[in-house]
Amino acid sequence: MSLFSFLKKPRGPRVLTIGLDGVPHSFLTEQIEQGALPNLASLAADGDLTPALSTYPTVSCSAWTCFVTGVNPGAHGILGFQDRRPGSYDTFITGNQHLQAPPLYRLLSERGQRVLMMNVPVTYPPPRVNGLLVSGFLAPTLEGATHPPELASRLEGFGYRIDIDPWQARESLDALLEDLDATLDARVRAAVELLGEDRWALAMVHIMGTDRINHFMWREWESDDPEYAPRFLDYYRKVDAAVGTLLEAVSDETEVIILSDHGFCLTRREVNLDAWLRERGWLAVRAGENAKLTDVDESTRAFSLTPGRIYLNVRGREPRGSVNAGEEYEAAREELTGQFTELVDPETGEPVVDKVFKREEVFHGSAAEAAPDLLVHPRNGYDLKSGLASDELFGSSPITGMHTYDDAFWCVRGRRFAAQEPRVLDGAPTVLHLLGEAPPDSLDGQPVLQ
Amino acid sequence: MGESKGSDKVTLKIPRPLYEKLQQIIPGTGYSSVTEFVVYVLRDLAATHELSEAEPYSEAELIRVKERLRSLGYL
Repeated sequence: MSLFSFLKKPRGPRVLTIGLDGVPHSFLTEQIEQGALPNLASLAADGDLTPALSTYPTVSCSAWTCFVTGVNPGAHGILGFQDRRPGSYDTFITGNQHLQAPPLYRLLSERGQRVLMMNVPVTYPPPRVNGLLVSGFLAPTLEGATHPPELASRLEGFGYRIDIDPWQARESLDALLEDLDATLDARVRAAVELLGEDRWALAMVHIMGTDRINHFMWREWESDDPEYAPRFLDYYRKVDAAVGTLLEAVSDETEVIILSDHGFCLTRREVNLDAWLRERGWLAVRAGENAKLTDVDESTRAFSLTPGRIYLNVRGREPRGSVNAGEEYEAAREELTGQFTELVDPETGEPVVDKVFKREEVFHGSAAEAAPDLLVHPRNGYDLKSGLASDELFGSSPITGMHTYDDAFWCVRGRRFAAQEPRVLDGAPTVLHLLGEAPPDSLDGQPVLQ
Repeated sequence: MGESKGSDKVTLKIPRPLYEKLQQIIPGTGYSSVTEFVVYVLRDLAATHELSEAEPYSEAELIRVKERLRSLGYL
């Protein structure tokens, strides 16, 4: 793109998305009815508010990458916060450099459109864009998490925080609430300034605090805790006010989509699938305590990664593989799928697993080959974990809320949704449609507005 | 170039004819001043000389990132 090409570009449509990570549609509509969220209420009344679907596996890194690429995780390659190097037991932390499909901010940048990206997950390391970008959580520090680099010092001036301190949150809900307020306040003040000064076509402002408060305080909310339930709702009032402030910072003609990437529910139990695989004789490790994935031995037939990603230990594919490809592989997948239906909550006898997908049922595209052989999706309330350090099957932690595949939401200003429930991967095609930009070939999603 | 202590801004000098030409270009572009426009253009230019990808996590950062993921129940 020529440096001055934007001068010739007529001012076109603009889209602002506000990501309210992990806010359930059911919670939102209930609080709108109660009058707690006036800005979101008026936006929904003037436009449309609908339940929406997430992706499998239901984690924010996969879901938001679905949104910005418009394709399933088997095509964009982000299947969890941690992934495994194919053909090994080595793991790595996923980042922007692992995206295998072009995200909106790259497509638009290449077409000479300006973007403003604030805190969207999986934008670290910060990609070079035509515009401004600050990475989302997993950026270790603000310095080094922005494009251009000098944006970091401007953001520091606002007291900008990429994320709350989750260890502190585990210790003290009071500290969490203070941290959430300061993070939101700085995010909004920085966003207002950047929204006002930059000639963006697409601005995405991401609020991760909603996911964090849901993780750490869903139990207090659901149990109507006398001290913390009102403070939980107070945070949501502040988020609603933040939405109002952000909308004031953009013109009335700006297209606005506010959405969450998944829903939330109360965690009844955490379930360690590696412990279950060990109990059932599928998995064995060479080390004693604090075993890692690299310690699985030759008798292992299956191992897992959070959340619910099951890999068979295939001869010729994994270094110490034991399952033969072909018929034996298929038989093992069938046997394991059957056994997952026997995994029940010891107190209630209720099944833990909702569905077990074969890889090819949910993942399609260039990254599908590295995807898990089976994907276990739990019933709401059973938070699937993996880990070889402990052989405890069921557990609990200060994380009392978990993600749900359904009950996400999308809200649009001044427009109506088409009949079908939006899926998070409908994000990119919907945004491109609003901007009058042609979508790339072979997107999985489609525009969802009438 | 001028730099006043305590300020986060510096002054650049450019030829007056260039300044006047820019003044003529700006109307209709959404920029309210030559300064705003020049900052935008220079920022864009500077960006093309940056490394396209940041360094991956250092060992210490990787430990911190994993701890963060663990504390959120994502690992």
